[in-house]
Amino acid sequence: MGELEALYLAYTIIWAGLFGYLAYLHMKQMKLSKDLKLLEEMVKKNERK
Amino acid sequence: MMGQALTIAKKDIKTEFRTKEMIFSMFIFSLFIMVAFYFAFYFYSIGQEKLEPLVPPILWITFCFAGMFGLHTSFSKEKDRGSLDGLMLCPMDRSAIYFGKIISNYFLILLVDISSVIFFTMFFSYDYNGNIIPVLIVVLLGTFSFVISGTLVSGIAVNSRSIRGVLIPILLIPVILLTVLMPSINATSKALEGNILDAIPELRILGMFAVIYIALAYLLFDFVLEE
Amino acid sequence: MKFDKKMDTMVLVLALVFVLLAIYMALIYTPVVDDPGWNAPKAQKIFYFHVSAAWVSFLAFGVVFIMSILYLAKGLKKWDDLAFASAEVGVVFCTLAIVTGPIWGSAEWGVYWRWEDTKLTITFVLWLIFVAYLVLRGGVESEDKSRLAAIFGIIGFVCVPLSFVSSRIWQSMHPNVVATSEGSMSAETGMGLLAGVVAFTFLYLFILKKRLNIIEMTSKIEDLKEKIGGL
Repeated sequence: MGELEALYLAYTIIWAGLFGYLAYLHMKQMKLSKDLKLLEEMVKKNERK
Repeated sequence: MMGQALTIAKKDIKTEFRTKEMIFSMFIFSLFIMVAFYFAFYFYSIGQEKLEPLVPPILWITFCFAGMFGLHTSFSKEKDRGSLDGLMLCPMDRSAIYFGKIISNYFLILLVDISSVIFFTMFFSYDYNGNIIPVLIVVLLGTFSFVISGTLVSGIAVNSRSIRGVLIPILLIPVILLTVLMPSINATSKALEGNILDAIPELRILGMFAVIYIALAYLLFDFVLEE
Repeated sequence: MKFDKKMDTMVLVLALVFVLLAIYMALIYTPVVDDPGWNAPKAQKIFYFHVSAAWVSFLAFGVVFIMSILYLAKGLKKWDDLAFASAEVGVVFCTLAIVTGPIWGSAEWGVYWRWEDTKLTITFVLWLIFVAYLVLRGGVESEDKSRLAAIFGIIGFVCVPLSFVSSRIWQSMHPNVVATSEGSMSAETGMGLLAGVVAFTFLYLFILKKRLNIIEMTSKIEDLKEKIGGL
């Protein structure tokens, strides 16, 4: 592998990997907090009954 | 505590020799591995000389996988029969169970390992050139380190219901790869050259790690069995 | 709660600032090595983030180790959650370190991997242990899994330095093979590396917090589902 290709490849992998992982976590977090809100509302409704 | 451990070991060995399922399957398994190796190298028609560097890895891969097979049976038998719960009800130190298991596993695995060393000469028509005693010394010590770390790790792995069989190798191989297998293989290759004294650094490492793993197991095994 | 949020923002800002700074330092500020002994002086710039990623993976495993001990001693769920989060984030950084190493190796040495290289081998063992730890967590179904994972976290952490000791002996068996020689670092290189390490440490803290938040939300959802169970 040429040295510049190696450099580009390594930097791409590092930043794509890190930000891909962060984006994945963020999406999961958003989805979970939506679920959590829904569930909390359901619990409140249940208690009012 | 040592007396209790011996009692447990005696019980384990006695039940094992009643059915011989663990030792028999381990033994057959190690034969299969060696046959597989033999056919893998068959077309190269390797003689004594070319075989020399391959002996330690073949032996230790055989020991390692046959040993993991044995460790798997050793704990899962107890777990499935529920006899582990019975053992834990006994008024004794939990570490005694671990040390008892070490003694019985060491005895059984060593039996298989030594017979593998002997069967190896027959399968590969390999001549140890009178160096079989140094090789056996290495096997003695290497298997000890293997059993000590292996018993602790398989005690953890046996708690998985779905992937119990693969969990032992997955957990154990990274732990023993450089701490047990590599020194043992190096020491064996030095022993095959006839000079066991050259292998002293490796043997020292094996002994040292065995002590460290025993200390670790002494500290942690109570948690392994906690319910 | 409010303070917690502020800390999060703080860590994120610091991480971003240091990441930008580290990229600048690695690519522009630090000089290209001009030693004829180097085959690929430009590819050497991978080093700054490769070493930082390796550093974070060891740090992450240290956190797993300490949290495992705390969990076994005190039995609080939050220690276990932290160990789990740290292991998962650590495996990401460790993978990055392990992938970028061979890329540099192929440019510098012409081969991807050298088993004689102690650092490479140890990082690989660390990676295997991380993966085994996560497999164990996924494989045990019962509530015992936190306890068992904590035990394995301790064993795994202890076995890394042991592997290091033993591979030193093994390496000395092959004295003819040259291991990586970083040589003495110049001041600029040191600064660049420091920036990379600081940047990745803050990034680790930020990701760890996010991962921890996800674990906590998951268990909260489980609890709530149990509460309204039957609906």
